[in-house]
Amino acid sequence: MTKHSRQFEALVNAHSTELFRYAYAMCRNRHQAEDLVQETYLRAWRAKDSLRDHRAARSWLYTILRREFFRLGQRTRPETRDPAELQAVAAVDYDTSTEAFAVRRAIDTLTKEDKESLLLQVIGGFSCSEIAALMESTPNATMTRLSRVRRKLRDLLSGNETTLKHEGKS
Amino acid sequence: MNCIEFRHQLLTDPRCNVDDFHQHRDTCAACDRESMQVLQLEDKLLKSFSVTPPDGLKARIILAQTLNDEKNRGKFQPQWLAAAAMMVLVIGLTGWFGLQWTNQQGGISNLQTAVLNHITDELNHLHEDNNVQTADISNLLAPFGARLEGNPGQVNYLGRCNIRKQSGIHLVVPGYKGSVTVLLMPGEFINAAVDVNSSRFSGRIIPTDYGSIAVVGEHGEMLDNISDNFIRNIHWTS
Repeated sequence: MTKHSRQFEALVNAHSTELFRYAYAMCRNRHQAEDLVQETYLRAWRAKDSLRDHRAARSWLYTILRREFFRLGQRTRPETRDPAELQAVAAVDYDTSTEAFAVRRAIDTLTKEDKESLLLQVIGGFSCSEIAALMESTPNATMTRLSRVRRKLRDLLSGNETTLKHEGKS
Repeated sequence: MNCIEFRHQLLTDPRCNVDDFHQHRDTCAACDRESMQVLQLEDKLLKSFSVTPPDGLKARIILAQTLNDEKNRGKFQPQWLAAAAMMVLVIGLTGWFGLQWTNQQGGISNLQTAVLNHITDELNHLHEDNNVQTADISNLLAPFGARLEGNPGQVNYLGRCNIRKQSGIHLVVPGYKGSVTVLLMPGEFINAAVDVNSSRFSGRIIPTDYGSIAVVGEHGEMLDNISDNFIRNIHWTS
């Protein structure tokens, strides 16, 4: 096995799970998420010589994945995204609680950029500066966006809890 | 940090790891409660997307990479092309090796001279005592795609330098007989270690994965530990 192959395998072992989760959170389709992750790694392998600093490999993979996701968005019509996917994944270790459903539904109401910033921080664990670099924005704008998104989500979810409580009483 | 700043930071990055942030939370009950609520929301978010990847995903990624390589090999190397390439290679290699051997002998000799000239031109660095921090070394190594993985010991001088038009790193460390110069020379590849000697200095240029390293001190200086230390503790990724 070559040095490059060993490094590649290490990257797959280290990051493929979180990349899959990120891809799934963005596209909400298990098969598309898998395709996205596979395509991301294949493009990363083909462009391996362009990665000069291996410490940057993780954000590099996220950058490739984001590009692939936007390509997918251009190719895929919204109606081809599978709304029944949630039921399909219920059997494979997915949180199907009412609360988790409400959270996902609330996230779906966010704009593409808001959703992406939040998921990069929550799933990817990136700092505001790193998210700004990935999204070609500024750290201040990213901080403002994240603060606004969390406030909105909290409002949406507290409203949802109130609705659920009312439904439970009646 | 006051309550307004805390709450802004909380919504921006709830897992912020700044001392001021933690201190405020520990001393303000209202902000502590707010923090608990936001962190609960974070946990819900994370849990909502903690989906398990499909079985065999990693294996399929690696398989796709392997098949991609196979496909590319098949595309560019049909049998006749391989045979023709082999003939050209045999003819070319004979001449090339001869030329390389001649060039390398001249190249190594030039490198030895360049190293000694560089040290002599910058003798002032041997008297510096800057107490260089490991963070400074890491920062200088980073643009070269290298990183420090251990303690390099005391370093009195650190700088970027050019040797034979290649960019490298110049360090000065204390030895038993005086200051010792260490030159990290990425891209300066040699086949085997060679000695360097002048009327005042002696040392070695040692081949490494990334090029070579020169370690030069006063005559009779013990250089092996120093060269081993830098070869072992600096990892080059490109």
